[in-house]
Amino acid sequence: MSSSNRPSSGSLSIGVFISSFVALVLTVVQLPGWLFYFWPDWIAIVVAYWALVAPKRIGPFVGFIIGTLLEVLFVRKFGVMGFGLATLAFIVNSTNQQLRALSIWQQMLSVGVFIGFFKLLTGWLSGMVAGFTITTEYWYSLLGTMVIWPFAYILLEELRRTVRIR
Amino acid sequence: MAKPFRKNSGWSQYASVFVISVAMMLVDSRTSWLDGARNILSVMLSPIQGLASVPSTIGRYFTSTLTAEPDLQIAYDNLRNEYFKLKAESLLLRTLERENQDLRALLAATDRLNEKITLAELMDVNLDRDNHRVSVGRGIRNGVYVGQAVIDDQGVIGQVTEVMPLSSIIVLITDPGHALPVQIERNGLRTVVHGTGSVSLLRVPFLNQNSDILVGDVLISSGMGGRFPNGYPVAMVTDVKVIEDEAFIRVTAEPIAKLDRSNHVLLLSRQAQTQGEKRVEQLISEDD
Repeated sequence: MSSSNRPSSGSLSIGVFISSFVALVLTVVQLPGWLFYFWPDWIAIVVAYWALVAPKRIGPFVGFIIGTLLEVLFVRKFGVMGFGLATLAFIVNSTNQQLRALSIWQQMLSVGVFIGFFKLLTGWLSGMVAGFTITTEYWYSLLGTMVIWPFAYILLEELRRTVRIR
Repeated sequence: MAKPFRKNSGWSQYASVFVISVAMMLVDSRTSWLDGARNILSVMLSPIQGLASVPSTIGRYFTSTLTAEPDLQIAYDNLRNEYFKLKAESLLLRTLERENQDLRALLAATDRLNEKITLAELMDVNLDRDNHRVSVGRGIRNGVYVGQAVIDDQGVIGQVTEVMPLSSIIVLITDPGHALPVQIERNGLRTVVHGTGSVSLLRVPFLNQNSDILVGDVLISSGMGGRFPNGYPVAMVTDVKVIEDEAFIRVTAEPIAKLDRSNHVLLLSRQAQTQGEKRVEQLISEDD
């Protein structure tokens, strides 16, 4: 909780690694049609969570690396997702004290706003880099992300407790 | 006391990431220098794709083992009937093809390009919902190249945009950034079909008020631009709206190919065989 207990950085990276791996698998898993557009942005959730609970060590740089991996998996132009996730991590880092004070529902709303900004930024940038157009369906996943956030938060807290990260 | 330090390091980290990202965006959108790194990383990340396809593989296993025998028998009979029908039609087609060739020779026109067809299976991963793209399990190793046209048994699906060692990416005709030159089958009027981002909607822009286009018209690829071979069905016109004050009419169409349902696609590649074909290839590459 406080900075007096310095957790080992090894277990933190294991936690981040496992959760990002699962998130990447969930991102590319094949879906039935009705769920397709509402499927949450798992990677954004994972980055926001770690940037929230470990702001000192999980910041823009880690977000950038995870985003680059996502770009390889999606075969997109490099740089866009990396920068978007770095921005998300940076915003969550700098507001983490306020975010922690909020109840989980208020947290859900603010994280929704941040991830919405992340989607706006990456959509706009990929429009410049790769000729992408933001459609109405593009925003549906934000709903899914916000609905799933409290559950993902509880699950990730559980993971954090198992691998003993404070 | 710790706060200013953290704030500082956060800002500097963010600034350096910003610089790196902008550099990567510029380099990657203008050159192909980063493709090597992408290829290596994509092979390293292939376990993720393998894991992601596990649920649908299991699902397919259960549906295939739990299908009742009468259903299989019906499916088999249907396929056999279809096979004989197609076989008979292709007999007729061969005669027509020869006749067509003779006619072309009489007119001193170049021979129609022959397309070589490669069958490819879609990978069971949901690639990217924002862009309309799918990935297939054929890559550099199978001779896939960028710009190859992709069809299914009904019509045009899209074209290959990225090739990696073990897989390649196909952009669908419904992608908002994709346009395809077509002509109306009925009267040969040439136009372009744009994707909209919705899987069952295409736009046909820039048609005048007096263009001859009707609901139900079939749009076939026109072969202009050299990417898609001509004559493959692309879309069917679903709506024609004339608005008095606008210069162009609003035409929407629906793709004929089963974009979201087909599991197998065909990659068309050109075979340069005769002199005439080589010449055409050359002209096309000069055009690019």
